[in-house]
Amino acid sequence: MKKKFWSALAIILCVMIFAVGMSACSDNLGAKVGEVTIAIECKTILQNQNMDKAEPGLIDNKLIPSDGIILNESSVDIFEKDNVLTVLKRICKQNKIHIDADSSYVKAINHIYEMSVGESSGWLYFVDGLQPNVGANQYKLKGGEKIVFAYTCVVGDLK
Amino acid sequence: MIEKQNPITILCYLFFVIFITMFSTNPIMLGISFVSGILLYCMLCGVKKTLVRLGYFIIFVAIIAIINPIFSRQGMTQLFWIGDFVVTLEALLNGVTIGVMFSSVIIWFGVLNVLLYSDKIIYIFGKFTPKIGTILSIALGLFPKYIVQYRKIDNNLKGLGLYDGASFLSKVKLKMHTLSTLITWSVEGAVLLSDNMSARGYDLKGKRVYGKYTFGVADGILLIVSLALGTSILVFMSLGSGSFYYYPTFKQIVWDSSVWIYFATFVFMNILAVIYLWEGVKWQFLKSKI
Repeated sequence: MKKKFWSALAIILCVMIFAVGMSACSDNLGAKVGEVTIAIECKTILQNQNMDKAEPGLIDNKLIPSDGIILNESSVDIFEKDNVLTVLKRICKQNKIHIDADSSYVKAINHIYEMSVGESSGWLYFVDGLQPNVGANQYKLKGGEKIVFAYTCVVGDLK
Repeated sequence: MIEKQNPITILCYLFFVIFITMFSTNPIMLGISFVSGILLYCMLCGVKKTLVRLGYFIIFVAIIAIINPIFSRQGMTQLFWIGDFVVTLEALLNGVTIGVMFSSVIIWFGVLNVLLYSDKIIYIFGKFTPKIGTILSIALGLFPKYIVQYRKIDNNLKGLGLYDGASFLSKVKLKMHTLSTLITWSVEGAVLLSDNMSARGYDLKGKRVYGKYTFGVADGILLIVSLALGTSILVFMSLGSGSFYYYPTFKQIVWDSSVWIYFATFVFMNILAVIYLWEGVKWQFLKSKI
């Protein structure tokens, strides 16, 4: 009985330490560097032949906005350790937009998942109109950039 | 009647039932399949065995229902947050349905194991592929044999007094020892068994298998019904009737023309149970009341 109690306590402690460590990691960002603007849009889905390919769950729950803009261009403060992905996660948390992303890859924004509008669909990001060659978690920001997250349905339909 | 039914028809029927269960995501279809599987198993094996199985299934479903939300962030109904991770109702209930799907497939395979024992399997496959029939009959018989032998070895160790006052770690070590003994025994037994069976000519092409199963009118009806109903349910499922999604939030179940697929599934999955019950009723009437 005693043994069981102590092992249960140890497991609970481990979980708590893990949770505290996780939250501590995400808070430490450094000093403020500047501002960037960020926008999220899914205009490509609204093109007619793409709307037919969309999963029924997206249409039934009206998750695709009628103008294709999930987040209007808005400015965000950035800090020393920020990259594109942390900025996206922060702005989504502020505006209460659903996001499903791990440490390097964006699977979904606003419940629109990759591969849910045709097989080659997914989220891409652009900085100042150009598509960077690195992942969103490796692109360091200096301040003043224009970030756009856009949903692609077929290869090459964004610019 | 089930006992005298041709094994091929029963195999065909259960094949369709298991296929429909595996490919459906709709909770109503899965519920129908699970309940009718449990009922048939209960009729064939008794209440006690079924309750033991149900207990295992509840644990299994609970484990999958806990594991699925850990890996899935999908779903609109947020229950609670752990740090940065959200646990959603959709992921939880999707886990439950996956668990029920696996459990109903397992229970239907249990029914198959009861209805088609090794004699019948050799009868089915013995005509065109004797080797596969032999392998299948051996493989299906292995697990019950293993469980019996495992208990024997374990009881031996208990009888030697090795478990008395042993710590948790040494108990685990003893269990491992039991398992290793079991595997050694089974390897030895497999060689002996296969030598024995090939000496008796089980893998020869020309060997004829004794089976007292004829192909009667009842077999014909059951075969035609299971082929027609089973294929039509599968085809309509692939065309999208009775389709269901969990993410981003549950599909509303509408009671329109697609309702017939639930009705058809219900009828299809309970045919064997009805035959079994009919048998019992007939027996009650035919008993002489002197």
